[in-house]
Amino acid sequence: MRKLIIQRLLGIVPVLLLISVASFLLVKVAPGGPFASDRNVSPEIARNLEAKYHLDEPAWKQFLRYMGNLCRGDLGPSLKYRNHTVNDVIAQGLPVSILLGLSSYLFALGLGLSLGAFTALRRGSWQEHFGSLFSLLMVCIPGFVLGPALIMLFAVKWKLFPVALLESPWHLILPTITLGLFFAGKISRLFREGLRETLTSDFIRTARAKGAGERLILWRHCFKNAVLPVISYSGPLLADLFTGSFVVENIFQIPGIGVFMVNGATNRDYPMVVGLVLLYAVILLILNLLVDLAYGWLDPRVSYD
Amino acid sequence: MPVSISVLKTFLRTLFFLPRIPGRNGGQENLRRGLSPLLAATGITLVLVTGGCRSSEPAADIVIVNGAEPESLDPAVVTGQAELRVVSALFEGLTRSNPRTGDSEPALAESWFISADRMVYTFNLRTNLHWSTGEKLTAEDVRYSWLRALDPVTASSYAYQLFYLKNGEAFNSGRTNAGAVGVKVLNPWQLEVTLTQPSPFFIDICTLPVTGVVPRWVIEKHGDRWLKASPLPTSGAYELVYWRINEKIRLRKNRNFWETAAARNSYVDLLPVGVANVAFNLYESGAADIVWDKDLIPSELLGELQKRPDFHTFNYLGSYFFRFNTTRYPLKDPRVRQALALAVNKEHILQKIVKSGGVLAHHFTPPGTQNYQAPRGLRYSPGEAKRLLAEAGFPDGADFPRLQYTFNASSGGANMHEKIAIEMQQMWKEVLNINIELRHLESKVFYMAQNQLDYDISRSSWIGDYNDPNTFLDIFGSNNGNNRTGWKNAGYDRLLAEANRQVDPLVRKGLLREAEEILVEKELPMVPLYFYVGVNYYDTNKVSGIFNNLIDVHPIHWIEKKVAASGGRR
Repeated sequence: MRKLIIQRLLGIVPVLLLISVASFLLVKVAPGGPFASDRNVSPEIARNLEAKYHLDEPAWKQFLRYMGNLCRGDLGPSLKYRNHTVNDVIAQGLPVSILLGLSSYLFALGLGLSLGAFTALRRGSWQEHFGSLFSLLMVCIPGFVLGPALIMLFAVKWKLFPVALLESPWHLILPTITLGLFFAGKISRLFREGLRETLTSDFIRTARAKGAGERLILWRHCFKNAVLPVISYSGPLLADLFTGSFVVENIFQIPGIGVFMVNGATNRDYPMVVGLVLLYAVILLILNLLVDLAYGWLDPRVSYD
Repeated sequence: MPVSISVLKTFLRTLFFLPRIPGRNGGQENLRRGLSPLLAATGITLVLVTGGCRSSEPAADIVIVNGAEPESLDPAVVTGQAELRVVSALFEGLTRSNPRTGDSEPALAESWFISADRMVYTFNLRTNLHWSTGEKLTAEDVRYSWLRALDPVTASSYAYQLFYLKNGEAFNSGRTNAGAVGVKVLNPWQLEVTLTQPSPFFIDICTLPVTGVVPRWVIEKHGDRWLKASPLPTSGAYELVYWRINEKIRLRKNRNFWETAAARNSYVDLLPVGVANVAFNLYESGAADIVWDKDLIPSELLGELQKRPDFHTFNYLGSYFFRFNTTRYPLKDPRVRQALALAVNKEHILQKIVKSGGVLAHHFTPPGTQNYQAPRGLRYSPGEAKRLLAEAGFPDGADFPRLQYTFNASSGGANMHEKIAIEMQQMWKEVLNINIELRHLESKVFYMAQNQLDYDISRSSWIGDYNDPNTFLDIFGSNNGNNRTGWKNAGYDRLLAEANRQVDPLVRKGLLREAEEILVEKELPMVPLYFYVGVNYYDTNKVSGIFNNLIDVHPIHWIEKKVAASGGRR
């Protein structure tokens, strides 16, 4: 087990290096520069700006400089928000994004697993059809439709929740639903399929034949197997959620890092884009590792020793 | 990551109370019983996790939706309106804008003396100037701040505003040292400034945030991160409590400000909001008192909003126009440019698309600009347009090459540029029988294309920096970086230079008008479409101290919440 963890952690290094090279090159290839705007600066001032951020150096030198700083944990200055570094932006935005991501994940898991179980156990009944339709709807409604609709009804019309910002737990509820509903739909479908498949397996029949109670069968024997697809889905899902959502952060004015990821690209804020891509990669790789470890814990057929 | 796993475990355990298989004995009931601990667990976790969100800071007296997240709060760096509003509250210059008229008035400088040749300005600073942290503020601080803005190392985009200073441009481009720049400290309360030419608008330049006075010792200690210093010494009516990127900027009244009674409020929150609907919702729900940014008006609600008493529009120093690339055939020919200009029915565009977001423009310098009377400009005239095009060799549009109209995505997502482009495409087809293709570019690519003259006709706009025709007319000078048309006219350059050397305001006015005639009546490297209108919304029954002025400047220290309406709102 320990060997596996060390191996995987070491494996992350070359992957990150590859990702940093690729993202660094890609942002440089994009046409237009960080300082292009409707107000042109004189050639002298443009030169001063480029010199300040070393953009006048050849690309390989810029890359080496970037990697050197990266080794010291410095992701560089933001070219758009010139008083902040990328580290500042992450330090301020990441906890917010993780908070929203975590609450959305919990919401999605709670709703998704319950709905999945509900529909799997009522096979063929009207409740199943209704539940499936509901989960389909959850997957189909995009956040940019659901968010404003929730605001219209719950915040503007009935005044139950705040319209935007993030100042109290109340402020978190509508964004959580907006962000989590899609994933709840996905999880419910995954869990339903998993549960159905497991319920028809031989070992369940054996357990029943031995006279085990239904409750025991469901939660002791079925659940662990049925939840595996949800666990493997959770790795990339959580990485997505933790690095913020552009749409939800925009609709609810939440100071996470999702907005910076997208705006960084449109602003040609090179260090911001590369820094956030690397952050996303680290989170994704670590979560995938955790997912693999969770497999070992939940599925007796998987062993890392 | 361990946190997420432990939460996951809690969840899985909670789920063991979930439904039993139905159909045996009372599944429904168990389901309900099972769900309640699940929901309770979610609720408790949420409350625990978010418990840290609620802060115990005092409620703000005024909450303002300020527009997009400031790119910086460094006076030498900022360029956008949203940033300038905050920066003027934090760092004051020698002069500042009067909230009612927008004109420059004494600030850190109490008075000034201008030499007979109008080349040397002697500023007398107030003697009771202090930083917000208590240290004395002197003329040396002003000199340092100006030289810092000009220093190539600072890489200030607005440094060119200080090129009016003797050797300012040379220092910025590294051709001379700071000592040669025309700014000299006579004594701690007197500053002598020498210019390259008499510039009648120089006092307005001293009002620009780029001249704001910044704390030398903090900048030298912290470098680019000086704004993160705590406490941050400021020279304006406010000090910075905190600046949380994309969340909030909180200002507190500066108790050491020279004008002790200046700020009419103790705490001000500025929310960086770039989405019009969010801004509107915050205002409507009472979470914000003021929204002041022309890009923060939900365009679909514009008609409805205009009828409301809390919606205010006013004339503003901004022009919307299109540029011609005069280096390309057949746009090299002024007759072709005139024909294209005369074929555009601006009134129709305004009525159909821009609505009350603009005022019809036939000239470039907006109405109301100080010491100025703009020329008449060209009016819609399809017959004349056809005649000119025929004269240029394209009768009824025959053999006219396919040109492109290039535009970018509008801010606020209202598709304004696209709608205007489609409308003009139609007009050129109907009047001149020519086909203009539309080319939609992403913003950064668009500005690059414009800059490299990689376009035929291109959408453009310009916001004036100060209230003088020079801030508009200057950009079409042959060597100005913002010209972007390839148009060079020696006569135009000569008139502008002569006007800015001129001491007599009346003569200057005539010279500038003559220059603008070349621009909008004869040569037309650009065609004005409309003037922007400033927009903000706030309830005059609840908020006072905001006045409409041409430069859309509303000093925060003037704004006050009326007592009767102030409630305990966060």
